[in-house]
Amino acid sequence: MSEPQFVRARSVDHAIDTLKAAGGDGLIVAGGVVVSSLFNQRLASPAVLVDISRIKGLRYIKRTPNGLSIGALATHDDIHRSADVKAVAPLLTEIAEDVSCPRLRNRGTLGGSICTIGGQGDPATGLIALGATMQIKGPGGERTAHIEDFYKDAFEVDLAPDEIVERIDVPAPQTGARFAFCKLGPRNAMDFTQITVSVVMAPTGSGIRIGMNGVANAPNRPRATEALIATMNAGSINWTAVGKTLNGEISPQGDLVYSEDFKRHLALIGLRRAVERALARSKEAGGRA
Amino acid sequence: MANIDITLNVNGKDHRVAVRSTEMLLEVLRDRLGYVGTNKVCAQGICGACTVIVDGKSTTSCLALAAQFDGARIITVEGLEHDGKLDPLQEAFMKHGAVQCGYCTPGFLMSARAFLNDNPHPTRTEIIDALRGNICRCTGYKKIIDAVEDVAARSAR
Ligand SMILES: Cc1cc2nc3c(=O)[nH]c(=O)nc-3n(C[C@H](O)[C@H](O)[C@H](O)COP(=O)(O)OP(=O)(O)OC[C@H]3O[C@@H](n4cnc5c(N)ncnc54)[C@H](O)[C@@H]3O)c2cc1C
Ligand code: FES
Ligand code: FES
Repeated sequence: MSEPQFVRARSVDHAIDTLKAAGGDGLIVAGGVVVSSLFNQRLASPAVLVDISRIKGLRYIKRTPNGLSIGALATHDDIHRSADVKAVAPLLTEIAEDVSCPRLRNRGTLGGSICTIGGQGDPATGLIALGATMQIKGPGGERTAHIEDFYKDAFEVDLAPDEIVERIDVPAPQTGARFAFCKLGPRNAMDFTQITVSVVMAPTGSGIRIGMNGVANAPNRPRATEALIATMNAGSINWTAVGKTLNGEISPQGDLVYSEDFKRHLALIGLRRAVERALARSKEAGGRA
Repeated sequence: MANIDITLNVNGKDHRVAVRSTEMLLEVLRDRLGYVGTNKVCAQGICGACTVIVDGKSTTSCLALAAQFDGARIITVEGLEHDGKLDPLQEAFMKHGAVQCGYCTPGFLMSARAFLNDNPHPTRTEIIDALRGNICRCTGYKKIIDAVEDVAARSAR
């Protein structure tokens, strides 16, 4: 196997030009956590590696009139420590706190997390529940994509080989919105998560947005389940009915440890815990928590 | 082909080295520069044995492309000692029996050092959380956490 050429991109445009010249055989590397792991397992052999980690102006977290703007190179640690994230979208603070461990949070970026094909992504669930959009740039210019539409299927995201995610825009939830995140796996730390669920609920009633991971080939938004919960009284949700609808919207794959049925069971438990936590939090915090 | 020239400052000393594009920082430190205190176990980011401090932050050297680290300031376990004196964490690990086979120890020391530099007076819960990315198959963790807690308790407020 010949070694890929290594190009240190000076700007977003330089990276795009390099990817374009590589004709589909280029691979972006940001924090490099996932890309390194692919190399260690001999799972990738691109012709060109495009290092975007030194591009100026891609690592930031800013408040905007609508909420937050997060540069693709912001790390999980940056997000975890950010007072602006905590003030505007504390769901993302909570999720960042639970991503793997400090030594990986220091290096792994948000852009790398959402673009990781195979969808090992806790942050993606929160971004789906919050209704985030991504700003993507390619040779033809910029475009905006809703994060829930970004994931197409296993190993398939809506990103051309010469496109780069520049930033993620997160609209501020309504004042008093309730939220929670639930992660289910064999251990608290360092396991590739089985099921993660993020929910954002309206300040009152049962209006809800849900982001899930681990229950289909890619992170997803179970819209029929959201619609059903919204018709119920928040205090007396019929979880049997919710489970039926959710089952129709998810397609987990059994693995060596967990069967498909067990994952379906976990998906409902994760959702139920997230919803119950969100509702309990609103009581204890008296509104926006 | 090892054709990417980088400079790494390791424990205060500059090294110029030509690396391959897929070469990991761990391999460069161990095999090229001789800092063999940093251990390799899983090469998958899971165990933490390869943890080093890069520009002040704990970093997983088995999942770090060396070519990305030109100009970085790195501290390995060899760099914890100053003028023949061990780091207080190393002393505490011995005192508390936080070392058995020792394979995980460099990684724990580096995670704990980076953490205490950032947060010198943590709670026990914060220590446990800070070490969640390091696995030890011998000690059962309690003695390691005791050792870090001891150092935190003795450092000046
Ligand atoms: C042991 C271990 C445990 C983990 N635990 C968790 C966990 O608990 N929860 C969790 O959510 N994640 C977890 N992860 C995943 C990992 O931490 C994140 O996905 C990380 O943020 C990846 O970021 P990176 O910058 O290192 O990505 P890279 O390795 O640099 O890139 C990853 C992918 O994204 C592409 N890419 C990167 N940036 C961009 C961009 N701006 N535009 C377009 N494409 C881009 C790359 O081409 C590559 O395909 C874990 C990983 C490991 C190894
Ligand atoms: S060898 Fe790097 S984490 Fe295990
Ligand atoms: S002392 Fe043996 S693995 Fe930790």
